[in-house]
Amino acid sequence: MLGRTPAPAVLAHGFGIRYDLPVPLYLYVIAAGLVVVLSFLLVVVFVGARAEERDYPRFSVDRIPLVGPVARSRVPRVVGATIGVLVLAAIIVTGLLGAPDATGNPAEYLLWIYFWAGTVLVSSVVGNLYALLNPFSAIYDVATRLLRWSQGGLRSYPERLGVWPAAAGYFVFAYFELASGQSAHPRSVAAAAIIYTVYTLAMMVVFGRDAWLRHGETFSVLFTFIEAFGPVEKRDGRIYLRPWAVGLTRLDLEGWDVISFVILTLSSLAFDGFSATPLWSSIYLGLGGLTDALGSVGPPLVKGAGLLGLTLLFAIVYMLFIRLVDRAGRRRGKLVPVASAFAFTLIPIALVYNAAHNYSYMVVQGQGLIPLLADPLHNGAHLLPTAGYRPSFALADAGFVWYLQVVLIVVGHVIAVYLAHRRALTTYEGKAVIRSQYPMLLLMVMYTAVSLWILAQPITEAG
Amino acid sequence: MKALMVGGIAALILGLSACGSSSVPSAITINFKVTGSTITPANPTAVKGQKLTMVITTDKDEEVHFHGYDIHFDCKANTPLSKTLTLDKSGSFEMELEATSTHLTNFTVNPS
Repeated sequence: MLGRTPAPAVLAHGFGIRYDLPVPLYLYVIAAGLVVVLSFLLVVVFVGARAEERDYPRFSVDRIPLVGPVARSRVPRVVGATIGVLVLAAIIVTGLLGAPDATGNPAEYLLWIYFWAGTVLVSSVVGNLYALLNPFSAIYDVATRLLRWSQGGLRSYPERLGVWPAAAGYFVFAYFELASGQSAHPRSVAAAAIIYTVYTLAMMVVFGRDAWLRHGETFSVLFTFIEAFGPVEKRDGRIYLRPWAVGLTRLDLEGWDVISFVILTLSSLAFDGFSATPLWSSIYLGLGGLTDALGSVGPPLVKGAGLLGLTLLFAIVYMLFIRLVDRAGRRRGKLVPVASAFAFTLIPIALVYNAAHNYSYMVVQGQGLIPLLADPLHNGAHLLPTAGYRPSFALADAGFVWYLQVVLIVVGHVIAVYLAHRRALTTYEGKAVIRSQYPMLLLMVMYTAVSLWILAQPITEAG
Repeated sequence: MKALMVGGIAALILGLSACGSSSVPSAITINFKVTGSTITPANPTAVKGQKLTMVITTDKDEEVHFHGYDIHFDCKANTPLSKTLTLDKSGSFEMELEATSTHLTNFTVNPS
């Protein structure tokens, strides 16, 4: 490691230290076994199932007094937007003016823990919070109202671009988080927030608010996937509660753009975990000569290539299995509709892996914001009497975290298998339904094994 | 077929609960030696609930920070410094040279 700056332990992950212990081997084996057993149990349940498009149970929120009217009013959005705009402003102000180190600056906690890890996780449990928080559309709404502009945009969005702009934005964001080496620098975080705000507002002015939110605004598009997993459903102007995950069967987006986006969510998460494993460490160190020769751009370039490479690998493996699925399903035609339909069954996997991977990081590291509230700008202020607060580990006992991770991974993959079966029922006919699902089953079991393998790796540092 | 699967799952759960609960000493002492930026033992481990005495000897004046437990050792060169604590949280906790943020190792506290 001579000639390179010594890395404080595991900074690949946005910023901060991870305290979690790798999952022990015996739990790994049990979990992997459970997935296989439960998956085949599902196959047995589905044998002979008929392709009737059964709707899932729903419960209308309007029937609850008080909650229904409030949920449909503007109150949640106004409250959420206020919080969203304040947090965005706090990220920019403390990022620019606060402490120069990551652990001493609120911007890092707000972006990487509270927004990125936290809002995604909570939204998959309670429903799309980002739709309420979205600070960009809030700023745009207020500005256009004050300036009396129309919200239609200057020109219409080129539909053939689909959600490519959002997918590209996601890749840039993942690169910034995991590969750029800048994510632990508060100044860079603030700069990124300013650039993304200006870019998003400009695009909304050009293409109109709703068109850009649907196709170009990375987080809005990402959270529509998460919303489909969550328990809140808006249908015909009414709000319903439904079981988790089933909403994904109603998503009917199609195209390479959507497939790429979903694969990216999986591969970037996997890269985040993978970049803390000894295997990546040895690959990275093996490339030491190359990295050094490239100078200061070496590490971000090599890590960026790793992120891109893993994404391509995931895409190739996925398409290979879709081809097998389609062949077994005896359906002839284009692969894209099939690949899109099954891509959404991967979202539960991404969400549970996100939760398993980030849980202890969130509940421990997240508390690091509390002492900073006393002096957010690092100028000696005593705003709140919290400066001496030390994070509690009560929620992060390693034994508890192991079981939680294993249960999450198993449940997520079984949900994915279930969703894939439902998709197969509407895509294929007769006996081909079950036959088409054997390759899918193999893919899911492989994903489980990879997720668990990453969680079971000793955590190392690389570059 | 189904009965077989239910049986299999039950066996797995039983096997799961049978694991754990072996006896460990209630108090341990670990002697650390820091030379430059390397530390021995390189992979210290303990079990949650143990009373741990850490004795740290450094080759020059150094402040060693034990993260998670947030304990600082202000070591004078070649003078053993000892602190005793009860391990009440499990996880992987970094030990580093505070002044230069140099990573020494991660102390593993296994769940009991």
